[in-house]
Amino acid sequence: MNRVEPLIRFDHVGLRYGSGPEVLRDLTFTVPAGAFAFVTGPSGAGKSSLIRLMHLSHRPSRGLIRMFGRDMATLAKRDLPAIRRRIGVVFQDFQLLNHLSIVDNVALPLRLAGANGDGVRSHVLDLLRWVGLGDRLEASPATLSGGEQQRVAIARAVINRPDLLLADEPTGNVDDEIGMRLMQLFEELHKLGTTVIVATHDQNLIERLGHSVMSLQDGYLYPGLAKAEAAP
Amino acid sequence: MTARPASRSRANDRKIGRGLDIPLGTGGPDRFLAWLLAPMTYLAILAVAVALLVGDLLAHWDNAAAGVISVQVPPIGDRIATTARVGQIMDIIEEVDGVASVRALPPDETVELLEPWLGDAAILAELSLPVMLDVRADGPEAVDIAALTATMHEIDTEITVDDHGIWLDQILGAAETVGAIALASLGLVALAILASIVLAARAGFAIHRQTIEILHLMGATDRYIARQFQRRMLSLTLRGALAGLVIAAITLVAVHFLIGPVRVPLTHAPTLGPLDWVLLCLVVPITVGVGWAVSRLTILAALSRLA
Ligand SMILES: Nc1ncnc2c1ncn2[C@@H]1O[C@H](COP(=O)(O)OP(=O)(O)OP(=O)(O)O)[C@@H](O)[C@H]1O
Ligand SMILES: [Mg+2]
Repeated sequence: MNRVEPLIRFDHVGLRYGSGPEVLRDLTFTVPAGAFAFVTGPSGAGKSSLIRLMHLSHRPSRGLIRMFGRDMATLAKRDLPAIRRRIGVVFQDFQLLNHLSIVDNVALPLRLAGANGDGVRSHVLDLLRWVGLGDRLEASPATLSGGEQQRVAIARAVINRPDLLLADEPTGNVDDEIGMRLMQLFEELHKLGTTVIVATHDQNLIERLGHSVMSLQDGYLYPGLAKAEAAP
Repeated sequence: MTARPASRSRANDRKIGRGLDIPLGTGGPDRFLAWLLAPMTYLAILAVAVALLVGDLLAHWDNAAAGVISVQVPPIGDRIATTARVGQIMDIIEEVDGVASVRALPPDETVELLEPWLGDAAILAELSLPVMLDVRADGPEAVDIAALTATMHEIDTEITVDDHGIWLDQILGAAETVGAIALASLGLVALAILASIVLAARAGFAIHRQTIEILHLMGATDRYIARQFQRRMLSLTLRGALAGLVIAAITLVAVHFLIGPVRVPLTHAPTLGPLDWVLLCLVVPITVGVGWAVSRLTILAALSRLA
């Protein structure tokens, strides 16, 4: 290989949950470092499943995944946290901690990375103001609307300026205006070097931003693949 | 969920990440552990105290009792004749190998000794009583009791020689049993403490499993998660063990002042010295240390079973 190694490489990857059918079949693609890619497809196509594989929260039932220059199959369990801390993730169901305030939820990745100084809080507050939650800082996420929770989840995913940002339907619960504002956040991060992968079925969003697209259907990856590989 | 009453301006001054990422103080039997540990450490400390007292008794019994021989001379005729005979016998005993001293107990001391068995001191004083000789040997087994008995029986077969061997054997045997029971109870209580710490940690893990999984997804290491449990366990075990220590100390001091030191005839009166108290207090840091280590191992084991 005389090219720079891609950030993510899938090689004939399949995924099944338990003994169920394969929900992802024979995925082969690469995502170069610094790319911005959409994953799209109808509901149940396997978008969230693909995000889970890339977040290493599920292991593939076949095939090879290589990320950050390492084979995930041979990765020791104790090396997983360090890799996860390089990945920011927005889950489709947010996965916020309801017993912590919004501020503490967003600060969690910083805390896990060992940062706890005075700068941390103001950094968190700035970000929360940017996503329009500056007046709900000490509330529990459980008291927020779906769209507000989504914004907390996004703030938590980007606070650490991760190397890889995975977002599963990050604009699914917000109106267009806030959606564009959140995408702006992703674009900023992308400019700073973060590789961004957004799963969405919002065709408007995809068209407006015009990045490469990976299209899933019934677990198979459709032509978008070529575009994904051609990304900068 | 606890409400946060902080006003906005105070909230802005607050540093982040003060509390635990896992709400361990809430929900479940968590706090119950402190209540469980208080009586268990109480029992553990009492068991240690009993074992120390028995150890003290066993370590000192020979100083006090070994080498003490009682010779009982029955009265003959009147008091004067008896006294003369006693003097004669004392001379013989003094010559025996290994005898350090011989002393005849004055009649009132004899009465005092016999009173518990025979009753009213005033009446006893009127009786013609045997004379008790208190013989001190150079050390335990310095005097050949059989030979001494034979010599005495040459004078009068009614004279009895007693080195308190049977009596002491019984006392010491009983003390050893009590000590062994104390140590066994200590072992059982220690096991119970261990089990409750393991159970509390496991229960906490099960209750907060979802939170733990989210932390895992965020890249928290197993050690980070275990540390949260350890911090919580530290405060629970410390509270429980300190409460147990305070109640145990009150019990021991009360026993000392209300009943007085334990007195066993012919033996040393066992007491708890300053070093013993230090040992008793050590039960607290040991419990806390064990809680710290055991909760860590329990949580790490539970985490390794997570997918
Ligand atoms: N935990 C699971 N256990 C079993 N099957 C699952 C699980 N999660 C997803 N699936 C199945 O995998 C398939 C793909 O699901 P996935 O959530 O990846 O789709 P999706 O593209 O994200 O859909 P949506 O747009 O509705 O979010 C579905 O058929 C679903 O039933
Ligand atoms: Mg989905």
